[in-house]
Amino acid sequence: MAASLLAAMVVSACAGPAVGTGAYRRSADRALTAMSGTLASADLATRLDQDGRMFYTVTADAVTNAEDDASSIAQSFTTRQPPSTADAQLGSRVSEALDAASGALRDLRVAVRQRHEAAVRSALTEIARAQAECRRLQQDLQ
Amino acid sequence: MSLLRLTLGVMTAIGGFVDIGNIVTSGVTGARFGMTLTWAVLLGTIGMSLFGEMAGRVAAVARRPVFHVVRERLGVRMSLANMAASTALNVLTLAAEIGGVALVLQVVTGVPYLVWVPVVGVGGWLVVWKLPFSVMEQVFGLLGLTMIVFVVALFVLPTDWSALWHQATHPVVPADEGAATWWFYAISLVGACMVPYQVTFFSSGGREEQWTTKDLTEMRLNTFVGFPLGGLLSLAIMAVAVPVLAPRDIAVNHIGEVVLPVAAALGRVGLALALLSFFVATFAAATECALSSGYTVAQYMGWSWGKLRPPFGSARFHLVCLAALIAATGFVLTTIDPITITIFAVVLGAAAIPLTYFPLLVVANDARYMGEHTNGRVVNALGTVVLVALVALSVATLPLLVVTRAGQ
Repeated sequence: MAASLLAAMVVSACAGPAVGTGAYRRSADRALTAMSGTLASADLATRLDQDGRMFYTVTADAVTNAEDDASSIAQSFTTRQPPSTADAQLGSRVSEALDAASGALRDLRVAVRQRHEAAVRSALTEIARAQAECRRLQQDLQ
Repeated sequence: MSLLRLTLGVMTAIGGFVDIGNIVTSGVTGARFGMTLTWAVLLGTIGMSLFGEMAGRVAAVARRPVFHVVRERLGVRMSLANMAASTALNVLTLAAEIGGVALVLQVVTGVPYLVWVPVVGVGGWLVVWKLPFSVMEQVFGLLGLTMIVFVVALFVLPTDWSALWHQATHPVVPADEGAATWWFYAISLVGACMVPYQVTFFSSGGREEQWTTKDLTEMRLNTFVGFPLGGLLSLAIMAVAVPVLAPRDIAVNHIGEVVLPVAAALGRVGLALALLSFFVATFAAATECALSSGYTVAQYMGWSWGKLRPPFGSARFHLVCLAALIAATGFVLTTIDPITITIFAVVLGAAAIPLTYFPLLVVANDARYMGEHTNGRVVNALGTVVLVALVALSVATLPLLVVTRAGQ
């Protein structure tokens, strides 16, 4: 049971290679969607905290998880090999956006952990910018 | 039978219905699919109520534990598969529950969940060892009712009720999601409602409390009122995600995200109650899972069992409970994400439903054990329909698990 469960977990967790342009663009879209959601999650938790609706530990946990998730999303996409030069250019733009989003979440986590109000506000602005970039790229992919 | 006792029983059943599986799957599906998978919760809740009532009736009428009767009626080999599947699922579910409690403690304290895992394991064992059955059932069940905060939040949030109703009554795959993923989570919701340990715990609890045919009314109230109201709590967790998480494309990956809508609606008080309800629901489920492992094995083997007896009088039963807790704690300490364990537990649980519930249907129809209390036509018809639907779902489970990469 344990062995088959572990095997199932491994098989289901494996990311398949992007074999064509369509698959590569879909993986880019999925990564951008996931990143948008991660950014939104951290943003919501932090804004609720600013409104006095959260406990500090819950907010800190939310932004830490968001940073970890963002790092995982960016890393997962970067390991995919683009099938063509045009896709490589697209991939580069997407990777840049994902890295920027990861950076914004890192800044937010640091600011929240330090309870630095001004830095939190600044990081939220950075997050809004990263979200807008992710959305713009998603529209380009349509 | 006093009204107070009846009310207490129903409230306990409501609070005890929801566990880590319901919390995670309802949160994930509400955020991703809106209310389009309401039907899966309804199917799971109907199934749980039907088979829970059968198990309770067997315990009250035959005055013997379910697994004991199953072994006698179906033979040692056939019931061995039932026992093995139930025990393996119990341990996996126990791991998910322990991980869930630890995750809640991480959210509350800021201390990493892996530090909490052994503490939760020891705490669970102490409850199994020391706390009287009735106290355990009622304290956890009643505190679990704090989950009603999700229903309150739903009314405070700017909920579009007509949109929720439309989604619930028009179960179609959302445009931006794949059909395979939608079906995968449908199975996970059914599995979360029909985890085998709940039936084992419910019927064995009946024997612990020495139910007789006089207790059938109370037992039926628990299953036909308490469980469906528990299902409503699952739907409330799903529904609050729709106005708050879904519009922001927040896919629930962490337990802390499930409580964000409550914080948005009710602030810190609501958040504290939601976290308390998660802690109680998962911790209670952990102890119930550990006990169910002991019940299952001891009843199959014909050993002395139960919390009413002192531990030295049912040593092997307590040893199995302890072994299950150690195995589950060790599994979570491998650092596999508890949310992933939960998804696998409910999905594999759904796949094994025919194996774990079919023998119950057979026993509940056997007049030698049940006398005049065998299943009626309506119960048999509904039970068969549910079981056939579940067989169809269980066949699709493993392919969907691989195709969707566990619902990603």
